[in-house]
Amino acid sequence: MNKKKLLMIIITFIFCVSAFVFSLHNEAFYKTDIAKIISVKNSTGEVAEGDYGEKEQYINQDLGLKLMNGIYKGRAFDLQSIYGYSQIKTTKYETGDEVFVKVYNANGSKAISILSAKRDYMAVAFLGIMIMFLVIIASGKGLLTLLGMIVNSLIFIISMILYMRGVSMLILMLPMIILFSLATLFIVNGIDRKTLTVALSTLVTVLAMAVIYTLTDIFTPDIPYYMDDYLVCTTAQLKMIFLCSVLIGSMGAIMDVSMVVCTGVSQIYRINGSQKSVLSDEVSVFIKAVGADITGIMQNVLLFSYLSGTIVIMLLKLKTGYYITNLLKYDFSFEIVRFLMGAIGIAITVPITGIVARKIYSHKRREGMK
Amino acid sequence: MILTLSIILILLMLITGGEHGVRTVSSMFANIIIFILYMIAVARGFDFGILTITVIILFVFVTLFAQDGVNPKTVCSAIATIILEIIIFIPLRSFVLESSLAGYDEVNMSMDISNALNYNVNINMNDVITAVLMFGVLTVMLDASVHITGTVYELYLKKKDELFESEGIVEETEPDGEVRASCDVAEKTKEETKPDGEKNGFATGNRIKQVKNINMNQLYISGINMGKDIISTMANTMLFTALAESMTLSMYFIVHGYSIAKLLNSKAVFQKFTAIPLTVVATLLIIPLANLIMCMYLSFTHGRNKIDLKNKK
Repeated sequence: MNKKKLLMIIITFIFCVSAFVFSLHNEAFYKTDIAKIISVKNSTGEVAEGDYGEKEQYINQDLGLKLMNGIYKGRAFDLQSIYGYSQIKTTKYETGDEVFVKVYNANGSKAISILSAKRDYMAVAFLGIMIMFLVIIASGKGLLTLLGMIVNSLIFIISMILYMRGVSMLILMLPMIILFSLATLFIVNGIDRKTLTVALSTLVTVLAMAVIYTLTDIFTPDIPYYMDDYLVCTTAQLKMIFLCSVLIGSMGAIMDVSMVVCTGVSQIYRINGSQKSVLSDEVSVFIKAVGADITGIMQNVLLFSYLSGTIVIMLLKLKTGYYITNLLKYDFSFEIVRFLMGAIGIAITVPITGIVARKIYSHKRREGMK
Repeated sequence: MILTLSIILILLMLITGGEHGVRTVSSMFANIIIFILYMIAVARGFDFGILTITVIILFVFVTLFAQDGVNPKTVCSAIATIILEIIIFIPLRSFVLESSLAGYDEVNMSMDISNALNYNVNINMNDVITAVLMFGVLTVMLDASVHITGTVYELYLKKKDELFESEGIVEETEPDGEVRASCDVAEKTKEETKPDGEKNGFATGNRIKQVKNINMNQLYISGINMGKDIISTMANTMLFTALAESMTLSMYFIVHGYSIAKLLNSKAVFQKFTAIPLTVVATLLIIPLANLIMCMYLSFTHGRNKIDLKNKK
């Protein structure tokens, strides 16, 4: 391990630890009142019955809280709370937890109610662990990856703010997709012929996906857009937003697959020089092999990342007596379409990258021969 | 729409992937069916923990063995994945408990859905969230570990002849050189700082072991280098899926004027984005682990093969 890397690790470590310590004691910087739970007394409460005869045990909690900031700093309050075994709508509190609270007037005296848990220190801890791991194991490339992720998130946030200011999603979509692919590829891998090829194939693939999606959308009935969780806009707007999210959601996987194919093709061209007949055969054999190898794996990654997001609501709905077929048809149609489009995107990336890479690399070779 | 897109997908997989495409598609549908059966079984009141462990193992088997068949690559990556799932379970669970991630997030709580559904279900939501995160990271581990074991295995197949050749020469000059399966080679190479390329030329007493060490060491190092490329692609894949899923959520945040402080404390943000750092950490951990297991397996079987050869002579 060289000195530079050691220094980098030490600096990152000090930075992460100090950020974590700060987040543990940052109550003074919050405008919302924060209270620390200093005592908890549990007593068994009632047993409630669910829709299918499930027995859910409730526990009563007598909490003692002490305010940590604001004008009531240092003052102690008592509060009664209740939580169920499932903790779906209720929360279990433990001594030492910090919570956001609201102090209000009740019958002439002050009372308190809990708004939500304070989680910022866990966010800092988790991000800190990730950064430490990246610096220790992947060093330089790890930091670039991190930078790429931050830039991508910023692009995303700015586009969302622009959208809420009234810019149409149709106008935002193309710059967003181009910026995402450029930021991801160029920050981590630098600008060269290979990343340019990958960027170009990604854009072509995304365009092809948009065409496939729009055609399917025209000729088949709509998916139930009104089922969206957050209902911040009209159905027409949602349709556009959903298309954009479908395209963006699969971009990561598409770039990954495209990168692998492109690396392989460029190596074949480097090794084989100028035998044209051998080349095209070998490239197509290679593309077929890689296509088989990587598409399945990436499709499974997408499948699981969308499936796992549905578990909580799916369980609750099944427990409430919804039919699984209806759930798949309505509630989770967003996730299913996202996955299907992502999988289609991955499947078409392989041949598209193959064609683009062959064009670009054979062009380069001809230039070289001149 | 779902039906049409499924048909397009299947056709595309058949055209581009051929026989392998069929296997991929069928393993994906098998996974979906396992998942649905799992959900129904949990809803019917079967034990959540036991079911989840079974389903994780089933997913590993279906994804790896149905797609790529049973071979050293897939077996090693299955072992590595299951070991890492066990390792991350406790830290992950304490993370979920400490940041109280169970149940509805603050956005769901303010909507009708939270009142319409049965919430006396007698399933601990802390367990469910832990399972969600473990499923999310499962394929990432599978993917990264298959990449690693695949490359290392192919490198080994290419260099195997070199290994045999150099050892054969040494055996002639030093007939009493100890030939043994060094299972611990991979571990030793990890501790050794650098492969001793120059020493290779000297005929020292334990030359056989050294030749083997160097080759396994090279294998290990090239596996690690290869692994570094995977991290960024994996992290980005997860980032983009998370961003896509949270488009309307982020609009909700903007409408309700969330500050950065509020975002850092939001349960909704935690539930959507925890998968990203988790992915990065899991990828970083699976790379050396899968590599180590593959190298251990290779040095073990390599020793055995060699003894077989000697017997034939």
